[in-house]
Amino acid sequence: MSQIVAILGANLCGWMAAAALARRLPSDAYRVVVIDDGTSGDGLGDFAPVIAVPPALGGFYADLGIEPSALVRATGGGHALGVAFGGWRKDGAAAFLSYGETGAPLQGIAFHQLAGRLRKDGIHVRLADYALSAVAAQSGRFALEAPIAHALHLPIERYAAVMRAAAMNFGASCANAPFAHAQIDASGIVETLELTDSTSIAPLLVLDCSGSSARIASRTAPAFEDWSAWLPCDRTHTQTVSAAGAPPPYTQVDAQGSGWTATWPLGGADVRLTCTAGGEGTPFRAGRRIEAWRGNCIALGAAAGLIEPLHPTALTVLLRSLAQLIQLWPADRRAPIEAKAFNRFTANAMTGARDFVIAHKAAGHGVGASVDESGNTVLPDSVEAKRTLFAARGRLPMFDDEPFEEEDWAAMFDAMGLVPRRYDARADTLPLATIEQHFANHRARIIAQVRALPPYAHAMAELAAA
Amino acid sequence: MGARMQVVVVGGGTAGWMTAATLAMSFAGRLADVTLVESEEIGTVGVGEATVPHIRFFNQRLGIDEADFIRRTNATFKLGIEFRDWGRIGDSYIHPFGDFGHDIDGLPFHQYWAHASRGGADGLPTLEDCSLPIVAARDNRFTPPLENPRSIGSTYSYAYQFDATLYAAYLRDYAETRGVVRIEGRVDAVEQSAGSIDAVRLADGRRIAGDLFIDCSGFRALLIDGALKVKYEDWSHWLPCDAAWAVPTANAGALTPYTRATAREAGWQWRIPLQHRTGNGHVFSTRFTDPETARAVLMDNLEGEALAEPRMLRFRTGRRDRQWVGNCVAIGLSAGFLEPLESTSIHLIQLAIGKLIELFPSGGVFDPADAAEFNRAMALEYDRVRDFLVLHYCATERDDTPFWRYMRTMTLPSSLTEKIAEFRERGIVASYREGMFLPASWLAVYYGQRVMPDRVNQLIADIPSATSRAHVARVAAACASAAKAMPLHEDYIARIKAAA
Repeated sequence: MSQIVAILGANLCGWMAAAALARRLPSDAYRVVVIDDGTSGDGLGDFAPVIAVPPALGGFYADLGIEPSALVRATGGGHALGVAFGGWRKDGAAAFLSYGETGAPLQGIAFHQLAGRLRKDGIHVRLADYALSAVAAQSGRFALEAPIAHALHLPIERYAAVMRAAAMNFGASCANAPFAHAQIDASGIVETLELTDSTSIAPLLVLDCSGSSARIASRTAPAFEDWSAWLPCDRTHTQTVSAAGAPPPYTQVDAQGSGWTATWPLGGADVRLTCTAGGEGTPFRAGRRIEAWRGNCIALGAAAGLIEPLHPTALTVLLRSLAQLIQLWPADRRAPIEAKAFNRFTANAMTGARDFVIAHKAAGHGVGASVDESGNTVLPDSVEAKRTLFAARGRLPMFDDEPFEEEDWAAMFDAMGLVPRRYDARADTLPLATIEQHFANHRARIIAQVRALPPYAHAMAELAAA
Repeated sequence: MGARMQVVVVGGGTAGWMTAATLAMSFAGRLADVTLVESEEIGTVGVGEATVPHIRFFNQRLGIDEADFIRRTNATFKLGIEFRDWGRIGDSYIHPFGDFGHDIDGLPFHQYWAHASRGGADGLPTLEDCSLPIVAARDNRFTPPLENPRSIGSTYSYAYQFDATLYAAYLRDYAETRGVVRIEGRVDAVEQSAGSIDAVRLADGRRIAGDLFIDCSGFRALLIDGALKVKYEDWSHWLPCDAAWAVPTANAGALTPYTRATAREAGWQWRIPLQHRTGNGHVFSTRFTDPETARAVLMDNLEGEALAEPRMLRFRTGRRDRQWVGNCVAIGLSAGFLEPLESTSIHLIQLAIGKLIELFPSGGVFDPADAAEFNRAMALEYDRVRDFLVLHYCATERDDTPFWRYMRTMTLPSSLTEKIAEFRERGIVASYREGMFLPASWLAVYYGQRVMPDRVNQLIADIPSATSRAHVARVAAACASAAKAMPLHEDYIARIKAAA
């Protein structure tokens, strides 16, 4: 007899979860059933009609047998080599954060540490000039087959449809009627899910992908950790405006008022998402559910927690949470040991993602950051520790399960104009000319690679014609 | 670049010379001048004769040639540690430097083995049979691992067992060649102002000033404790062993590519085979036995002839609250002590040196952020090693002596209680970002000391037991045939020595 894994939310979050589980769970033992929660949300915060899919998800699609180019073609999406940030820095300079690597270490010394050595001698260094993705983005060049780290920009509805097809292909199904009501016993176990056609489902597990409203998790595990003291933005609104000319292969994010506006080129138009503290727009609340897994209900996506989409963290955290769930797959509806391990992991992962966004906002001139009465930015201890050590010498204390790597942090702080006071002492033991040569060689290699690329518009035309 | 920094290392021995050698390689003559003060009157502890694989990266970074090092320090190779009589009297297991099998469909191999064993142990290879370094070690074989990650020959690592005194001498040679100045003398006084050390004064009246002081003075902790009075966090309620007898013996029997730790009535006995002799010692708790009895236990349980009178050391397990304070960094025993059950002493030295280089206060700029990061990282490392050591004592069925009855019933650090519960109930071993012991090490001790998971991942429990048995049989067969192709450990060493 097979057991039912019910996924509440026939949306992007729900179908991603369904695809991952249907791919992995043996079909003779489990049935993955997706249930419409009756809303039109995406389960990931409903921020915009488009979402950035970071390069780290490549392995997930490969496992499902989906080619990235097929995904872009099927959805009418695009590619992003990085994010251009306007108006964030105190000195007014623009900044670019690429999805790929920046520079290369020399004799075990990190690239940004070597840059510190050059800067001390008055040599101007912009790290983005040494990142292949950044240089390609700024020259508007890209090729599908080129080995350049990039994200995808995908329109949510069509992206969800591709995920739905993948999930169904691996044996997931969709319930005949939308969700009506859940029977939850006194100990917090979801006994049955009743549908609007009066049928019901008795699930082993329920994955609550119903977005911020968390229709089941809000009852089984209501405790919520509020992050608005550090992330005061609480409104978003989007508009789609027409755009002339070829689309750039990157996202533009401009600081604006108490928040920021992201522009994603999509299908010949620009989708603009504005995120602000107060004002007009759809409200949201930054924070996380303290027990994402409690009883037999596991909250995923926005039901588990929400961070403004300044960086594409939602899908990364979702995918990692699903991987953890598989590592911890339980035998019964009651699985307190598994839940505890899962909750520790997701708390670390979400807090790490949150910290990156908080640190980014505080590192510039404090756009959308939280300040106390004396005008100082208010930071969690974990962010304070990272900022302090980076400012001192360009290194970062790293914590368990956080989704960004030390290099990501260094690149972000550097892009925001935070220059360490000192650098790795070992960089002083190399002759200055050796470091300069290393930089020049790296730059030359990148320029040669970018020259060989076609304009992004050609790559997109080729994709459309294929 | 301003004036070169004056670095003073107080204390020779393993910690002092490892530090001096690395500083010399990294900075000497360019950013820093390194002076090391040591006294021949004061002996070195030199208990850290067995190491973990990270030591190889330390040597590589210094550019040390492995064959030359093996010859000059009388070193042998080490694939793991054999633990005898820990779970129950009569038990034996090896904690290997390597994996047990490989993940299958993204799930850990040991859970397949645990699942298979539920169908009966008859004809099922043991989990040890699924680890190439264990199979090789049991047969006294050794060869370095292969690089091809698809080959079973790449699934392990190795360390060394060496004469710590010869190693210190080797590094002294290395350091002095690279400009480190050694001063013979005994530190008599420490001059400080405003929480920072200005100079050390020697018994003969000489004054050695510096910008950065490294306290490698061992248990005496002349600077970090003597001068700066940094508090010591005492862990003896969790790890009550506080003394050890050590004695060298002549080699007897085959040259094992592993260290041995045999549990005793109130502690445990080590056996570390080198090329020319075997290091032995008995670590015990004076709360549960007396030194004379402990000495007799050691002397009655030697395999070869004793080459000297045994020496006794005393210690207190724990760590300094802070290991970097102002312009003083404590490295080695002055920073903390953890009994050598898992050969961690030299690794903790190496880790501290690595952090010091990364956070080196060049130009004499002491930023509190540097010390804070050093202290955070080192405290985490000591805490995690502590938990792993405590596991050996609490995961036991032994209740034959007051010592073991105390150990198996004591209150554990909460970080450890949660970790053990996850394994015992579901076979989960969470991995962490920092911390030297990877999940495979925890697995070796759990299974080796009879902690079996009540249940495994249900996706494994769902598959037929025969499928899991087939996975196990396949891996065990591959380990057996790969081990058989390896040379004997003593032949491998003989080849290195002959090539000189």
